Amino acid sequence: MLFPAKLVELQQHLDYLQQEFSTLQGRAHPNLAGRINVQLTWIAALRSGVSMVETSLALYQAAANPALDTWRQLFSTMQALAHQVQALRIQQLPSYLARTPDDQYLSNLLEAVHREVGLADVHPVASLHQPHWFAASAVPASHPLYYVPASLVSDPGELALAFHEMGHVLFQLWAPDFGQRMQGAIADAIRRKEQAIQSAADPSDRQSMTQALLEWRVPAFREMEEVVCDVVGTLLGGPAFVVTLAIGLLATSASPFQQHTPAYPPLDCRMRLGGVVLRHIGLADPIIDRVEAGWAQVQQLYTTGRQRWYSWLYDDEYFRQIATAVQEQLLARGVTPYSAGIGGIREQISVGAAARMDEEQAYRSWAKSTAAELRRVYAPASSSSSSSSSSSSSSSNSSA
Amino acid sequence: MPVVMNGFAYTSYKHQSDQELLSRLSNAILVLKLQAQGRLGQYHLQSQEAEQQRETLVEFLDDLIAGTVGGATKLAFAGLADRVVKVNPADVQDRVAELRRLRQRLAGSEDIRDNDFRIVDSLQALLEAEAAEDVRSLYRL
Repeated sequence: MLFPAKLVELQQHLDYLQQEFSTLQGRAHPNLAGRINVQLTWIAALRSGVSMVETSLALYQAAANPALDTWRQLFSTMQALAHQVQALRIQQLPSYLARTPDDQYLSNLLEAVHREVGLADVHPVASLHQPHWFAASAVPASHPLYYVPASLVSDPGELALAFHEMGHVLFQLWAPDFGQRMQGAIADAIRRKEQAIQSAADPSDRQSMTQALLEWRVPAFREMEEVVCDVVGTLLGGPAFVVTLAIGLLATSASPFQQHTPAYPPLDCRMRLGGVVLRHIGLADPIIDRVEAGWAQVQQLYTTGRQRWYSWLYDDEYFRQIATAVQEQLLARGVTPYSAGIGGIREQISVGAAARMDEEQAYRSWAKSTAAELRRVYAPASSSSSSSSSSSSSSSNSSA
Repeated sequence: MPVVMNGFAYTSYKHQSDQELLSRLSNAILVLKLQAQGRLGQYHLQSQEAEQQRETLVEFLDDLIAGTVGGATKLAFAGLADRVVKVNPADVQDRVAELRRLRQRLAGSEDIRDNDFRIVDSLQALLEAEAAEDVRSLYRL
């Protein structure tokens, strides 16, 4: 009876989700309403999926020959449905229930950033009262959900990090081409390293390099998306992204040459990548020299814990190969990478990043004036004066 | 039988790739098992569907064998190939040879043996384990 009970639970959750989403849609800002509209369609598809599993369950007969039993396949389908429903119920819906009066403002701001880089068909939904630093739920790519810190309202200094999240959206927006091209770039990098092994003079080096590369293959693919998103962030956000990421990640690891979670490369990789990529595209900037000098001081603290071939696996050429592949994709799709004097919001946050590395008072002044300016331009008329509403208001179901 | 799996539960592009591959593999195995049971009609499936799913399995095995022997170059097969090797690195060559024989039988329209179904079931289990890495956070309590 457990299996039918689970299916009943899924249907009940879908009933609940449909009701909640329908209610929310009626008072949502345009981007959120668009996202919910897609989700309501998918809720209907999930209902069909659950019904199909119910039908399959009714038809199921334990096969006399165990090798032909279809139980595993039936259960696998139900599992996939359960994950979808759970994600909608405990991740998506709470983001909407916890919406703040400033969600629409940040959604508008993020939409403007997308428009500036050439992604006019993307209508982001910002969620401020949420437990992440920055994150994206990139499906559907037309209306991605961006989790951003509420502090962004009064201090836009971290806005540059949204360019990393934009990378996740590109994987969906340009699927499957973008992902396949990036897989190709990783495969190319592995082939280059295989060739390098052949030219190593010492046989014992060749052996240990071969083993290191063999062990690195799977992690390289597992962390591919996050590495690519850092490259996207660098290419779209320029020095401001590199500076902001470096400040944000600076003190996050006591073993920066090791991978902590499968989806992310070692911290050292993320701290070095931006400078390498900017130089590769001809955007060397004194501010990057300062970031790198700072990171070099941290590297000195961790003389142990670096695998023998770490620097070879994560060499600068690896970052350049990925950057070249990403840049080709961006340009082919009409996306405009950062360049000096580009203007718009990207120019504004570049000024902020430079101030951040220079002098506290200058940065504070920039943050205050930029926050006010961005609000003036992008906040909906009804909330244009509630400059601290996001940080002071509690989560509520009131109309945004 | 295929269920719409556009999803909000994908935590990454890799997770999406794993989950989509799992869905295709599971569906192919299901259809071929039903064919072997002589029950395609009960599920309103035609024999052509079974033939298509044979091709799906052939393609799957081609990619998996390539990934296991030479190192995966496709995202969805990177984790799976790694898991196939790690089941027992000592006999991986024998198991790859077994996969090649299975691939030949499928491509040659031969009957699928009981042990063939056990093999593809075990591959599905490995892929489920790979895909499950990314959904644990949905069920913390």
